[in-house]
Amino acid sequence: MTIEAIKTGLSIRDISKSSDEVNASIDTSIESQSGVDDNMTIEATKTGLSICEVSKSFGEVKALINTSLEIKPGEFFTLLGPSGCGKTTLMRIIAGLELADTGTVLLSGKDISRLPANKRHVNTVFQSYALFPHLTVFENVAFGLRSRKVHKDEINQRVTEALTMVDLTGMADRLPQQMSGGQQQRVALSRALVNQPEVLLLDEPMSALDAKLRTQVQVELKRLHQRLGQTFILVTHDQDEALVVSDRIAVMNHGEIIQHGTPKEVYERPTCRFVAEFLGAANLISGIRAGNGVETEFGALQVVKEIPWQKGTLAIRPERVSIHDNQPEVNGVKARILDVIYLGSNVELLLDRGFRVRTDTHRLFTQGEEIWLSFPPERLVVLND
Amino acid sequence: MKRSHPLVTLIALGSMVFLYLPLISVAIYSVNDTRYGLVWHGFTLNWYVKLFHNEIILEAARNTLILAVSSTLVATVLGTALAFGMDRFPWSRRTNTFLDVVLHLPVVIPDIILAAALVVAFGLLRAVSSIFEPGIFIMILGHITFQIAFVALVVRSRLTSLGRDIEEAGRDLYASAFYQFRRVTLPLLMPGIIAGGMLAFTLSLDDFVISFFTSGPDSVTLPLFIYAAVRRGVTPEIHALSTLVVLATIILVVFAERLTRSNKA
Amino acid sequence: MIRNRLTVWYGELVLRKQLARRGSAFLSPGILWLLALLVLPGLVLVVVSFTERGAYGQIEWLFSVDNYKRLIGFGMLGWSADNLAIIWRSIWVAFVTTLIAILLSYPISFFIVNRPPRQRFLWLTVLIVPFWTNMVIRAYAWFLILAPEMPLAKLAVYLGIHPANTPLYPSSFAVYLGMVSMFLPFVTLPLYSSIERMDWSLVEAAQDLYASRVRVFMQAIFPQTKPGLTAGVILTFVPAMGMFVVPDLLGGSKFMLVGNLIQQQFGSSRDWPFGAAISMGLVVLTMISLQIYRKKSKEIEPI
Repeated sequence: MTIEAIKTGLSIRDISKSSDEVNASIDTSIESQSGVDDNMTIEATKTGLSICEVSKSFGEVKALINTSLEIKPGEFFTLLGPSGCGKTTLMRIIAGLELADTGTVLLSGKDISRLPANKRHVNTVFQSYALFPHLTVFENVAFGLRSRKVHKDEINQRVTEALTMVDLTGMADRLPQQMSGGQQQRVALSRALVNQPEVLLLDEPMSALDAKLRTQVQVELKRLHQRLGQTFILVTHDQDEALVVSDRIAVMNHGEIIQHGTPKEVYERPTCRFVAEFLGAANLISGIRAGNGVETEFGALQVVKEIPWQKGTLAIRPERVSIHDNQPEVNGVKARILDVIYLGSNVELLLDRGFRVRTDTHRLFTQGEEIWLSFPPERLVVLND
Repeated sequence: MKRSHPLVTLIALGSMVFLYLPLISVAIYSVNDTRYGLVWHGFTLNWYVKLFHNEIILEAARNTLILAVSSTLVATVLGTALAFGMDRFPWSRRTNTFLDVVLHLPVVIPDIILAAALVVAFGLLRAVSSIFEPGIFIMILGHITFQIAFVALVVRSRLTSLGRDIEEAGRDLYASAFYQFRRVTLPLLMPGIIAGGMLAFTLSLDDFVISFFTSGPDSVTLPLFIYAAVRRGVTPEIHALSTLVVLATIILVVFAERLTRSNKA
Repeated sequence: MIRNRLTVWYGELVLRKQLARRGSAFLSPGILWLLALLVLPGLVLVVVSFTERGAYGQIEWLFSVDNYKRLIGFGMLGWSADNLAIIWRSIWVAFVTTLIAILLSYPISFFIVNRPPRQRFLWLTVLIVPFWTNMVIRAYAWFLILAPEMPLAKLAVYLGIHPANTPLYPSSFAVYLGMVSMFLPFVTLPLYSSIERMDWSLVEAAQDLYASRVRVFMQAIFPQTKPGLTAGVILTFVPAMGMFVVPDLLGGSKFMLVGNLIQQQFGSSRDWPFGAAISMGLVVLTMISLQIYRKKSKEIEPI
């Protein structure tokens, strides 16, 4: 069987690699899958999942343009972008549900681009969950194991474990339509995870849940990932979700990956306007380079980073702007408050010139009041465009 | 407007009476103990008993069933395959339009045209072989022709509503093509196939026009028998027979409704 | 390029060529059947409509447009309006039937929509049963209602519009009665499915703005029910034009429709070429009415 082949391929490669991080998922799946020698020390490959120059177009529409990406084993990776940015296409190419026009997908160093979906050790949680309506929860979860003719006793054991993992014990005999949306989502999750895939793909899994449940599920998902240590790839358009759960994020737009990095990197150091605006709110200031600073409508601003352009844009997050009673020493700007929005834990100020500032100071602000702001140079991001 | 105006209720209930009054009268007179006239003479099941001793009627019932069962079997297989072939393959827009037109022809065109076309075509074919003489064989061919389209339409709508996700989920979960078909596609499609088959069966039982044009002396069906009989004059036996046919229809319809409803969720 | 020949379809990795071959295998039996027993006979019918009837009712392969001339009235005995009258009557009867069915269907649909969900299923079944009941039975059942002993005939006698001791059929009245009862569910069922999905907030908004009942209906209800209405009208008007059981049983020889005329040619007269020509006439009427209806519905609501 191909899955065995992948396994064996993996283990051989594993020995040759010298890596100190152990990939738990591969570890467990090999133990349970086949009679691979238990004494063999299996170390994670450095390769993980690599996507090399993958392109895909649908007729005239270019869904994916020459995209390359490296995802490390055990990583929680998120493809983030607006709808139609190509994130779902990329996910479907990884799953084998779409064929790339050019480029290759390597899983643990093995080219899987030409492998059909049922021979890839990759499982998907679909946006619609795509549970089999005619099968019970148990049979839904057991489906992947039965397809591969796993032994009955092992199926029983693994399905029960998988259901316990997502808190669905006692629901095994229900039909999907007798369950709530949140429960269905967990069935979909355990149906994929029971196969111990090398990569778990999650296609907007929270989009059908209400906001409160969503935050809860995000935390549970992150915890689950930490426990299993498998590679998770999440596709979402929700930047908060991406920031909460991911180890790394790739921001996509118009079929291209625009920036990738840890949530902190991407949030704090966006490289372009799109990323700055897509991930939370950003104040954009356009200006002209003047020596080591930038000449803007607010006057000359000092920045820490090097400026790659003559004319361009700076960005600063609303919560990174500090408020002063007197003129600050660097990058001070006087602004008038147009509106005060109370948000509970903090306060958002709408200022003239379209500026937004968020603060948790307990000072009272009044409409029309003039305040001093400062843009800390280390917080001013120099965008590339 | 959400609460009914009394006039709305009146018209609605009046229409129901209008639809059912004739059928109910037939049922009432089928148990009236007199051969002539419409005056009530007391309850009897005599006419039903007589029905089952009437060779011609039994023969007609047998013909009706043979016709319905055999045409439904063929039409269900062909129609299902057709629906699957249309929905599950990447045909060009032109091919799809062509298929759509051919499929909708029997639905849009008045049945009497199909009947006329079949009479002429079979009439010419008779020169080639005598199996095209009016009779049960060409009746079956005729019924299959209009049934295919209806079965295909019903099954196709089921296929469309199934969508791609579930199929992809099966493949994603390591199912081979065969396993996928047996374990996912077919069971999910089954309600659609059964609904299509029952539709075809009912259409065949109901059909008068196609049968009327293509039948021969030995292939009288129940609707043809009733038609010929009422032209000579209505009798309580005919009422009894009609009542049985209507009851059979009700059972079929209620069963089919239940089936499609329970599988919609 | 191998990639161009490979494709992923419903999660399966296949060659395009293989996919097309498999698809054709599924399609061909059904499509060939329809081509052989529907399209081809249809074409034969067209050809035969231009031939002549032989002395013994056989087809003489002499081509002319005589049958069509005869259809519009040019017979051996000069011009007569008989055939055209039958065609016109068919259109008129179909139109009136559709109109009455629409007028009754709105109240019925509103009535059912306003029932609690459990009852709705029951009422729908009540409506569906006649839809599936045999036409011959439903047509002849009116014999009983229209019999001289029944209240309806007695009322007509009392009003002096009908002679005593004769049934109310065959008559045009009986045909209309039969036609409406035959086609009512064909309009009501699709209309109901539109009304069931209707957005009532629009209706309420219109009522809040003190729109008259007529305006509420025309501007808030009617546009929303159009898909169902379209289906209903097509399902009724077209088959009603070709109907022959109802006029045959309830109309008699005095109230013939196109369907009866066609049947006559294939039955007692045994004049297939003329029958084929009338059928073509009915096909043309069908096409025209579908076309008119499509245009009209676009005019009312230019989206």
